[in-house]
Amino acid sequence: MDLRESYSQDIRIFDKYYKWAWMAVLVAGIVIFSQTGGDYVAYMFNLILINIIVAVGLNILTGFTGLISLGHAAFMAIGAYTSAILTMKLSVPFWLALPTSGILTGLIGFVVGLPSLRLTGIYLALATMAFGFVTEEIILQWESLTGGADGLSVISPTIFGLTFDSYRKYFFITFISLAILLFAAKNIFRGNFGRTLMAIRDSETAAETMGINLGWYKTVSFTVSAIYVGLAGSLYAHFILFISVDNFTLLHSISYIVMIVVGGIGSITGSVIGAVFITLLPEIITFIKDYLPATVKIASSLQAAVYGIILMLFIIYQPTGFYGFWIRVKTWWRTFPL
Amino acid sequence: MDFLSLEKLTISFGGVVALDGVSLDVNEGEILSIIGPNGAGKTTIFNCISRLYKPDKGEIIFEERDILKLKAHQIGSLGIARTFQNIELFTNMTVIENILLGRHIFRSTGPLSQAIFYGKARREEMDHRRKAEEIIDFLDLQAHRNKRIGRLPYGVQKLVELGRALALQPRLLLMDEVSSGMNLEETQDLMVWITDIREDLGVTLILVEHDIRLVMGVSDRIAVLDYGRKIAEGRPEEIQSNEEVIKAYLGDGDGAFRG
Repeated sequence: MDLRESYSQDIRIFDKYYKWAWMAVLVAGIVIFSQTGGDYVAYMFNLILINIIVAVGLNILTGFTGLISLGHAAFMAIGAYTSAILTMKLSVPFWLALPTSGILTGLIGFVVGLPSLRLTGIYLALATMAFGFVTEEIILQWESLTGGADGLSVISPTIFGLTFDSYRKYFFITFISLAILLFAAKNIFRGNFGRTLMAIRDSETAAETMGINLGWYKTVSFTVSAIYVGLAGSLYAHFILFISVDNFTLLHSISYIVMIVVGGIGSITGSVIGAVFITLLPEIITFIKDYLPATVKIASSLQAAVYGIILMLFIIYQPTGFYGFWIRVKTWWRTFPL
Repeated sequence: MDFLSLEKLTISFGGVVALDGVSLDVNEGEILSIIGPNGAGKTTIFNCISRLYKPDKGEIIFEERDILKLKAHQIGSLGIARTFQNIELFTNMTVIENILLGRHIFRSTGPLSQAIFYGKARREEMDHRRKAEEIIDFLDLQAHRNKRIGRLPYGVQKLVELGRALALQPRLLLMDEVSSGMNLEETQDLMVWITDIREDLGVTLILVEHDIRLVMGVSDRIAVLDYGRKIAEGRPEEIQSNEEVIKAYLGDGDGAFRG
């Protein structure tokens, strides 16, 4: 039994100190593996970490505030293109372009969030989906700025004379960004701002009576979510070195939703688990493709179909995602003979 | 000047007149109960005061301020808190988190400083946790503090709602059928708490109640509603012998069996 003696113990990120030790082991393991595992492993690590940032961002909006979005790939596109244009056309250094693209995406998120004052559920999903299509179309048509259908090449970032020109080196940029953003998210949800968002999700009537300005907090939630995804977009652009609208389609938005459902709606840890799983999924599909019947193998929409099946299975059988499953197993062990 | 005064409040939904020219004055420091048969418009009065409904006609003045000019989320900081008939708790959160949300109006740090969570934001969180803990002690909720709302019995949920309302440090508290779903023992505790809330915390209370024993035990005054109209108002003993009230509850005597 552990007894708590102070309020600060109640709001620790990890309730017991030994968990920090496990965290350190995990971090060390990830760093060593990413640096020694070859190019492919380093590439996958970067992709996973960037997707975790997106999943956390979407979970802030969908999992914690209860507002759905099918337009998050567009936020990612805005972050990526902002960063690419700033560094390539205006020669802004990367360390400045990264936060700038986060802030700009946040501002656009604020504007996109305004309809959420009136729309909920499926209607909000449609509105944000429309925002996604509009963004795609703008990028395609505004050729002078975005390169249109040809896409944009991006250079590897240089910070203080160090050039991060390999996946292995770039890993440190994504890793540190993710660490900061995860810490911020954890802080948000142990404090009042996060609770306010969850209150809106659970009961708008009660939230309003408690003095919570629903409209303001919903748009702020959109803003914060967009900042996360915008930063992820910027990190993605300088990692993949070439961006085009094909990287930011509706299917991407849907895959982000699948991430948080599979990982766990309304949980930071869940976002991490879901992003890891869904990022690795195409690799798993490629691996098992050889064992599938020929007609299934050549289907072009195989990946989308797998997303659909996974989403359905989780919603029906495990709506709390992997995270909910983990909590159940943990409780079962702790109370074992019962 | 009255503490709270409702002036000829009228509201209708479609063809149904829920409130029909109801006037009611509340004095500072008193316990006023509103009773009446189902559908008499008791909860509608609360919903008008907390601005969830907009009355068609009439005025609500709280300490010389026109409440109808404010938005629902501005009512809390005036010092008006309430509970709900059908429990509106934040079901996926714990008891302590629900009570902490009642302290929302006293928060001064923004999202950005809370994301850094150092210095002022951290101290503020600690202070509010201490205040929430006092409420948990007051209502004897210690055993439940870290449990999720969804797993608590109905009677305890009602208490958590009361605690969350008290966290706003209100001067006027609207309690909507807090005793429903409570057993006899819990209801007796509730009577003690209601008087404590008035005596120790100096809160003015308006109760909507069905438990007549509770109403008669704690109220200074009682107002009776029937079909959206106020049919009687007075001290408990006056109400007990009021002809109109008996008629509203038991029907009029013509042709009916009257013990």
